[in-house]
Amino acid sequence: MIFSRRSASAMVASLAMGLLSTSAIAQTPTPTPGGNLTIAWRANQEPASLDGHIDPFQSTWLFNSFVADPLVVLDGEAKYRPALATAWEVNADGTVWTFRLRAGVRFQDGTPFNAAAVKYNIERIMAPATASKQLASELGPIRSIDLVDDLTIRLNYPQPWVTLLDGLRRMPIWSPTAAERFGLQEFQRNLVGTGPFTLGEWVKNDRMVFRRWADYGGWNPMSTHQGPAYLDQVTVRFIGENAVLNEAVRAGTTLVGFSLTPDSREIYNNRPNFRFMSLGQSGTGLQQVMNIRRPPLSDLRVRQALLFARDMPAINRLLYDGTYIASDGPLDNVHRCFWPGATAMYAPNADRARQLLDEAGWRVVQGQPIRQSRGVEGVPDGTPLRVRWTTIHHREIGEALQSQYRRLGIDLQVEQVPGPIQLDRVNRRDFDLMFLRQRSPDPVILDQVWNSRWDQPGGWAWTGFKNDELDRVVGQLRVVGDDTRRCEIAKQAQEILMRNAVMLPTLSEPVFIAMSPRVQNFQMGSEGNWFFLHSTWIQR
Amino acid sequence: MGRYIANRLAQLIPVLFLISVIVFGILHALPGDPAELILQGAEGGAPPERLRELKTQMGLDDPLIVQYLRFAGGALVGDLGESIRFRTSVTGLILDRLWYTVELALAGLLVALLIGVPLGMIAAVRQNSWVDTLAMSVAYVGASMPVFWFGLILILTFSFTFSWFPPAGADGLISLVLPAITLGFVSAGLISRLVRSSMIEVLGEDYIRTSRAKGMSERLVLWRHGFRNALIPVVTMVGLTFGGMLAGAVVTETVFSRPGLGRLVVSAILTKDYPLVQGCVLFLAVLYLSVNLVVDILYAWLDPRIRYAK
Amino acid sequence: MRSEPDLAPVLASPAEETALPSQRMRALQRFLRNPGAVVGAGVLGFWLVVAVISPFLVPYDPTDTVGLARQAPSAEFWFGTDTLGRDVFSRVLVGSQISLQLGLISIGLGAVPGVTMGLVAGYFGGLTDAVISRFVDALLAFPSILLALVIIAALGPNLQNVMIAVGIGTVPLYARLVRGSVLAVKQLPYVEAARVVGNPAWRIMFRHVLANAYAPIVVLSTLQVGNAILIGSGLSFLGLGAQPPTPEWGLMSAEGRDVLRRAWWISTFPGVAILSVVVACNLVGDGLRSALDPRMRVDG
Repeated sequence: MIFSRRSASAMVASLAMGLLSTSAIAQTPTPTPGGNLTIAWRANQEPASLDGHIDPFQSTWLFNSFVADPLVVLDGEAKYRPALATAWEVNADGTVWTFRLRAGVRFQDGTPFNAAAVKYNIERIMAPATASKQLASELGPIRSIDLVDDLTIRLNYPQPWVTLLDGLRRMPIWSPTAAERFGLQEFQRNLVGTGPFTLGEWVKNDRMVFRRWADYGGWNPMSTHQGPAYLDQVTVRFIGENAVLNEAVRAGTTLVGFSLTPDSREIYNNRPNFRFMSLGQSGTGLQQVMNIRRPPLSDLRVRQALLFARDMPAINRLLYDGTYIASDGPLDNVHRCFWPGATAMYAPNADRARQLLDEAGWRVVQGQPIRQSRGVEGVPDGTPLRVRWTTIHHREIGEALQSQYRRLGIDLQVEQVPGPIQLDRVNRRDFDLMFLRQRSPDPVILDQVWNSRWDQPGGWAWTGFKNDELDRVVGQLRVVGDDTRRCEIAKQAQEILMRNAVMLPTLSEPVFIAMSPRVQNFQMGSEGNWFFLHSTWIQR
Repeated sequence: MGRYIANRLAQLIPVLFLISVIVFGILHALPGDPAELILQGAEGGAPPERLRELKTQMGLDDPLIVQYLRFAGGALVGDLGESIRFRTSVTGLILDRLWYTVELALAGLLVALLIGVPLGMIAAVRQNSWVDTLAMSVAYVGASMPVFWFGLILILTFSFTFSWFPPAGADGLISLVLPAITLGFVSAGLISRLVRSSMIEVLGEDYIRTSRAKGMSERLVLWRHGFRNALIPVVTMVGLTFGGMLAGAVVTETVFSRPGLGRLVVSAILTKDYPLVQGCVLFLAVLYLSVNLVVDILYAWLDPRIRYAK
Repeated sequence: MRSEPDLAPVLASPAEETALPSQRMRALQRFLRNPGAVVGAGVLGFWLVVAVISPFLVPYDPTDTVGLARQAPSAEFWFGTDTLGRDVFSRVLVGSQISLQLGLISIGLGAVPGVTMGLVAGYFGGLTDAVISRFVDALLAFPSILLALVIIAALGPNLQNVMIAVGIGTVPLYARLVRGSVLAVKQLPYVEAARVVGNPAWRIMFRHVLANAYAPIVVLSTLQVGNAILIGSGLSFLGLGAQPPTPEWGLMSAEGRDVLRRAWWISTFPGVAILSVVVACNLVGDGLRSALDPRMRVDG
C-alpha cells in the first residue's frame, strides 16, 4: 500500500477497510459461524493487567473491547458512532454532556446495563484507590454526574471538556456487580462486560483466549449482523522474537499477524495469497522532545541545528526500506491536522546546521571529531557537544542519527531504557531528547504535550518550553468543538513549535498486518492499532 | 542413611540464611524506590503525600533489619510479597509459571542424556579413531554455541523451512521439542565429554582387563562393567545440569516465547519490579539447592562410601 | 555442602618441587601431542593477535554507517553490512578485543578474591573455614546466569557490569577448588616443616600451597574464559549486556536475529566468532588438564 504524503489516516484506513470488507462480501456472501481466530501479537505489548480502568495501554483497551462495549465507537472513518449510548449531546460551551443509553442490554453476568452502571464505572475510574493511569485524566474534571432517568446520564464539567468522546471510546463498561464482587485486584482476571466475547484463559507470557458469548445482542455499530459473534474463539499469542512474529501467518502458526516489523514486507510482498497491509497511525509520530532547561539545548540555534542536520528520508530507507511514514512536525504527516509547512522549514541542510552551531559557540577543534564549546553561557570552555537521546524502543533511529550527527561534530549518545526508567528520568527532568509518542486522530494531543499548564507531576509537558501564545492556542483545542476550526488551531500551534524547535520529529511507525485469506471482515479502526471482531469470520 | 540426610539438611540452614541475605542485600542496594514505581504510570510522577502514605503502608520507612525479617519471615511461610507491575502476589506469579520451566528443564535433561551419553560412549569405545574425533567435535560445538543463536537456527530450519514444529508458545508436547533440543544440546556436549573420559578411565581398570582375559564377550564387558561404572559421575552431573537448566532456561524461554520463571525474572528486572526479582531469585536458588540435595542423597544411597566419608 | 566427587585436587609430592622444570617440559610435550589442544591454542592465538592489531587493520569505522544496510557479503564488504549499514567484518575484528576482554577481566575479577578466599579457608580452617565455606555454598546455589542477572539488575546493564557479574559468579568455583588443594597440601611434610621453622602464614600459602595448586587454577580459568564469553552473549541477547553501538559479538549476533532469514550474515559471522573462541578455550582447557594431570577434574 502506498501513501501519498498528505493523505489523512482516516482515508488510509477506509481504503484498507474497503479492501477487506468488500472483497469479503464479493467472494463469499454467507459467513460461516465458528472457528478460532488466532492472532500473533508482540510479546512486549502483552498487558500486565487487563483492567483498562487502571492500565494505560492500547492493547489492554483493545482486548477490553472484545469483552465490553464502550458507550461510543470510533469507526474506520474516524467518526464517532453510537454503541451502548444511542445518542448524545453537548451544550454550546462544552460543559454539559448528556447521553441516552441503549435499552435492553445485559451484562454477561445477567445484570442490567443502565445509567447507574455507567455512573458506577466513571466513579470507579475517578476513585483515587483505582489509581487510574490514563482514563481518569481523559474523563477530565467531572464536577457531578446526574442520573436523569434509568437510561439517561449527564456529566457536568466546571470547564469546557470537548474531548470527552475520545476517552469514552476506549472506556470499557464493566458490570458493577462483578467489579464489586472481585475487587480491584482480582477483577482483571474475571472481566464481565456486555461485549461479544468473554475472557477464557490467560496463560501469561503465552496466550490469551476469548470465547464467544452466546447471548450477545450485537450492541455495537461495527456488528454487521444480528446476534452473537461468528467466531467461537479468539486466541492471542504473544511472540517475543520478531522473526517468528513476522513469519507466523506464512508458517500457518496463526491466521493474523498484528503489528509486525517492516522486515515482514519481504515475506509477504511476493506471496499474493496472503493479505498484507500497512496502516498509518496518526498522532505525534516517533518524536523526541527537547529539554530546553539546560545547555546545550537551551540555545535555539543548537536545537535548530539538530533539525537541519538530520536526513530522515535517508534513515527511513536505510532502516525500513522506506516503509515508515514521514513525520516532519509535532503531528505526523498522516494526521488530518498536520501542518505541511514543517517539511520545508527544516529540510536537510548540513551547511546551515554547521553555521548555527558555530554561531552558538560550538566550534570544530583541530584534530577532534566532536565540537567543543567556546564562550557558551553556562558551559566551561572545551566541553564536547554531547546530546543524550533517550528512548524506550526504536533505538535504531537514534543510532542512525548518531552517524549523521557525528559528521557534523555532534556526539549523540543513544540509550534505550525500560518504561519505568524513562518515567524516572522524566520526573527528574533529567534528559536532553526524550521519546514521547501519542497516538490519536484528535489534535488535542498538542495541548496535552505542549501546554505549559501540564508541566507538573503527572503531565506530559516535559520540555520546560513556556510560550504564552502557544498556551493560548493549544488551550483552544479543549474548547472549540468544530472540526475544521480545530485543525486550523492545531496548525497554528505546530508552526509555533517548529519555529522554536522544541522537538525533533523522526518518522511515524505504521502498523503492518498480515492475514490469511480465510479471515473475512476483519474490521480495522481508524488508527491502525484498533480493530473490531464483531462480525469477523473464518472461511472453511 | 537417616543420619546422613539429617546432617545434610542441617547444613542447609546456614546456606539458606545466607542466600536470603545475599538476595535481599543486592536488591536493596538498587537504585529506585518501589513505592514511587507503583504510583508511576504513563502519567508520570506521584504526589508526595500519596508517596509517603504508600511508603509507610509498604513498610519502607522501617529499618533495613526489620524489612529483612519481614521478607525472610514471609518467605518461610511462602509469602514473597506483592509484585509492583502485576499488582498481585509474587508466589502466585511464580507458581503460575513453575510447571512450564520444570517441563522444559526435564525435557532438556532428557535430550542432554539421550545425546550426551551415547556420544560419549561411542567416542570412548572407539577412542582416537575418526568416530571419536567426530563425536567430540559435535560435543565441543554443542557446548560452545550461544544458546539463542542455536535456537534461532532451529526455528529457521524446523519451523520456517519445514514447518515441523511450532516456533513459539507452550501448547502441548510438540511445542516443547525445539526448546528442549536447544536447552539440552549445550549440556549434551558437557555430558558426553564426561562420559567419554570416565569410560576411558574405567576401561583401563584391572577388572575390565581381567574380564576380557577370562574371555567375556566385548559387548558384555562394556555393558556390565564399563557402562555402569562410568555412569556414576554422570549422576551428580545430572543434578547440577537439571538445576542449572531451571535457571538457565531464561534464554531458551525468550527465544521460543515460552512462559516460565526465567522470562518472569528478566521482565521483572527490565521493569524494575524488585519484589518480583527478589522472590523469583530466592525461589530459584532454593529450588536449585533442593534438586542438588535430592541428587546427593540418591547418590549416597547408590554408593555407600560417600555416606561414611562425610 | 555438596559432595564433590568430581573434584580431585592435585596431590603434589615434595619431590616435584625439585623436579618441576622437567615436569613442565613433559606436560608441554603431552599438550603438543594433543591435536585438539594445539588447534585450540592456534585459534586463541589468532584471535589474540587480531585483538591487538585490529584497530590498524579494519577497513571501515566499526561504529559508523559506511554503506547501505543489509548488503550481502561482497568484495567491498567481506562479511556484508548490518541493519545500520555498518561493516560486519570490521565489527567482528574489533569485537575480538571486547569479547576477549570480557573473558579475561571477568576471570580476573573472579579468580583474585576466589583464590584468596580458598587459601584462607583451607589454611586456617576452623571457624574461618566454616564461614567462608557456607558463603561459597550460598553463592554456588545461584546458577551462574541467575547470579549475573541479579547483579545486572542492581548495577544496570553495560559491559563493565557484565564483567563484574560474571566474575562474581566464578568466585565460589575458585574458592572451592583452592580450598580443596590447600587441604590436601597442608598436611604434607615440607609445608609442615615450613611452618615449624616459623615462616609467616602468607608466605607458606603463596610459596608452597599456591605453587602446588596452580594447575587446576589455570585449567579452570581457561574453561571459564569461554564460559564468560557465552554468558556475556546471553546477557546481550536479553538486552542486559553490552549496549549498542559496542561491537560485542553477542550483541551483534542478537541484533541480526530479526533478519536472520533475509540477511543471515549479520548474525552468523559474530556467532561463528563466539563459537570459535569458546571451542578453542574448551580445547585448550581440556588439553591443559590432561597434560598437567589426567586425574584432575575441574567442573567449568
